Parts: sequence; C-alpha cells; structure tokens
Amino acid sequence: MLLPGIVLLLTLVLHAGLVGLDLVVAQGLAREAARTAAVDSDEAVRQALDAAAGRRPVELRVDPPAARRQPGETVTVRLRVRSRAFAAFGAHVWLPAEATMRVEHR
Amino acid sequence: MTAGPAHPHPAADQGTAGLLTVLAGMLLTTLALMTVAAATDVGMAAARARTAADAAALAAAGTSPLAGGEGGPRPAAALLAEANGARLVGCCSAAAEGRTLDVEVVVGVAPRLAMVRARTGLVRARAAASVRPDGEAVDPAVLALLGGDLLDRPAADAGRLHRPVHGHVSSGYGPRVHPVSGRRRRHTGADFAAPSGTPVVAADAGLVTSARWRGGYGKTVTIDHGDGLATLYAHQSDLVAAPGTRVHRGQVIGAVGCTGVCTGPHLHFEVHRAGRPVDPLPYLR
Repeated sequence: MLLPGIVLLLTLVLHAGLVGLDLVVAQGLAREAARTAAVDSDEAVRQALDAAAGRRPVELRVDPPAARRQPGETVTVRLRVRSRAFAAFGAHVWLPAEATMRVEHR
Repeated sequence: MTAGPAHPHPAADQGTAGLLTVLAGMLLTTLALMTVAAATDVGMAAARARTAADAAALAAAGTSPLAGGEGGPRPAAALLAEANGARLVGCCSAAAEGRTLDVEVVVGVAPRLAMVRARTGLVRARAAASVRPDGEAVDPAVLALLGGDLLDRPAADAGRLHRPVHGHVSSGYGPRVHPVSGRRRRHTGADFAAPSGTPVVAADAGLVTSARWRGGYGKTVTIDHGDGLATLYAHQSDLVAAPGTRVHRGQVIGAVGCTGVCTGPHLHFEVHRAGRPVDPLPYLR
C-alpha cells in the first residue's frame, strides 16, 4: 500500500520537473524561431525550428507572415511544444512560448 | 486478577501511524512540488530575460546612429524588452573596436511567483549586438550620441572608488600589445606598479565573491559592491580576504605580487559595470 503511493508521488514530482524543463526549452525554441523570422522567410523559420526541436511536436504561428514583414517593425513567434511530461500516461501537455524580435534587412 | 493488554487499542495505533505516514508523504510531495515550481519560475524568467536581452540588443544596434536606424536605440530596446515581457534596466553601453560597434543592454524579468520574486528580485540578462558598417572606423562621436544609463555611470560614479594600491599606473585600459603573448588585445584593467608585498586594499565596501587562483590572473580577489559594480585585483602574492566576507573601504585584502602571467610585481585592477570591464581610472579618486 505504501510503496505504490511513494512511486505515484515521485512520478508526479518527476513529471512536474519535466514540465518545468520543457517550458524553458519552449522559450529557447521561440527565441530561435523569432531570430530566424527577423531575417528570413516563414519556411526558414519552420526549418530552423524543426532542426532545433528534434522530434518534439511543435505548433507554430508567426505574426505577421513573411510577406508583410517590414524592416524596423516587430515579428512575434508563438509556439506550442508538446511536453514529454505525462506522455507515458497518454496525456498530451502542450506548453506555450512566445518571442518578439525586430525585423532586419534581409 | 487479570493482567490488561500491553496495547489496549493496537488497531487505533496502526491507524494513527498510517495517517501520519500519509500526511508526511503529502507534506514532502508539496515541498518537492513547490521547489520544482520555484526552480521553473526562475528558469523561465532567465530564459525570457535572455530572449528579451537578445531582442533589445539587436534592436539597439540596428537603430544606432551608425546603422542609420530611426527613433534611436533606447526606445527601440525598451520596446523589444517590453514585447518580451521584460524591463529595460540598462541601455546602451557601447564600445568600438575598429569598424565594429558593440551595443550592450541589460534587461530584467520578474518571476511570476511572489514568493520567488521577493527572494530573487528581477532576473537579469545582458546581451550585446554588433554593428559593422562599411567605411571608416567608428567615430567616438557616435558613441557619445548613443548615450544611456551604462555610459553615464562612469561620470556619475567618478571618484567613487579608493585607489587600491600606492603606485603609478604602468599600463592603462584599452588596446595594447600584451607584454607576454605579444598579441594586440584589449587590456581589461589598469596596472599599478608597486613592490612585491605592498598592501592591496578594497576600493570600496562590498562582499568578497572570490579569493583564489584564476589562471593567468594568478591569485585574485573579486568584490561585489552592489548596484552592478564589481572590482577585481589580480597577480597578488598573498590573499588576505576570504570569500563570502564583507570588507570595508580601504581594508587590506592582499599584497602585490607577480602570480599568474606577468613580467614584474604589479596589481592588475579591473572595474566591472553590469558584468563588463570598463576603464577603472575615471572611477578612482
């Protein structure tokens, strides 16, 4: 009776830690994507994100899109990264992050 | 006469022990989750601060007079810091090396949890971005045009620090040919020539953050004076100050020597503003 309870609590703490780690990772990915968006196309942003995220599923939104980005204005990347936490139990936790950069001359 | 049982209610005792175990488990779990939440909060604040610092520095560099940007670096940096959930703490320290202008900013992000925020305050990050235009070397007037908190500090703090040792300045801050390596590189402090064993004193009151051997610096003491100001004392023959202790202005912290990479007894003295070395001489009386 006691052992399963301890295992359950430890699992809870472990997965809470994973959520925390993945939140920081998501923020790093958003920064990377925003930096790319400031100097390149949306396709390049997607490629940079995929390269940085590895096998983590990521949803991406870039505002404004590449066609409407003007040097000197800002571009904001909003993304959601699927956390590894609780995945073993069939639950999907999506973690949001966003970053804004100044659009530069290409 | 019959003897009573040793434990009149063994089932009740077991129940109490079980309840206490469950309570202890819940308490430990709560503490562990709070620790994880606090660590996550600080980690997130640091990550957001890094993002904001990068964005602000790039914006400041891109709008500097050298880059021909509009609006000026400070408003642009403030806008980008705010857009990333941060506050601009310092802008826009600038340094020029040849044709490259480095613009530096400092931003701060407040952790979301009040308990964490009360303990850490703003989580800061510093970032620099470079502008490399075609043409001539960076005009000093451009640096003056940039202005900003960090640039203004030396004037505000002029004469704040006590001279760390009696001796003449044998090498100042800035580009020079290194006396040992022979390479041209920036000298990040000022050298005071003095006989070996001459007492070295703290330039101002502060907390000794380290007192140890540091590679080419030899035996070195660093002191945090607060408000983003720190000093470093290198090549000493003896270290008196202990890490973690507070020292007062003028207190002896070591002795002049020639430890590490050096050619003769002297004190290498650095002043760091927001983590970056600056010319120490304007700070000295």
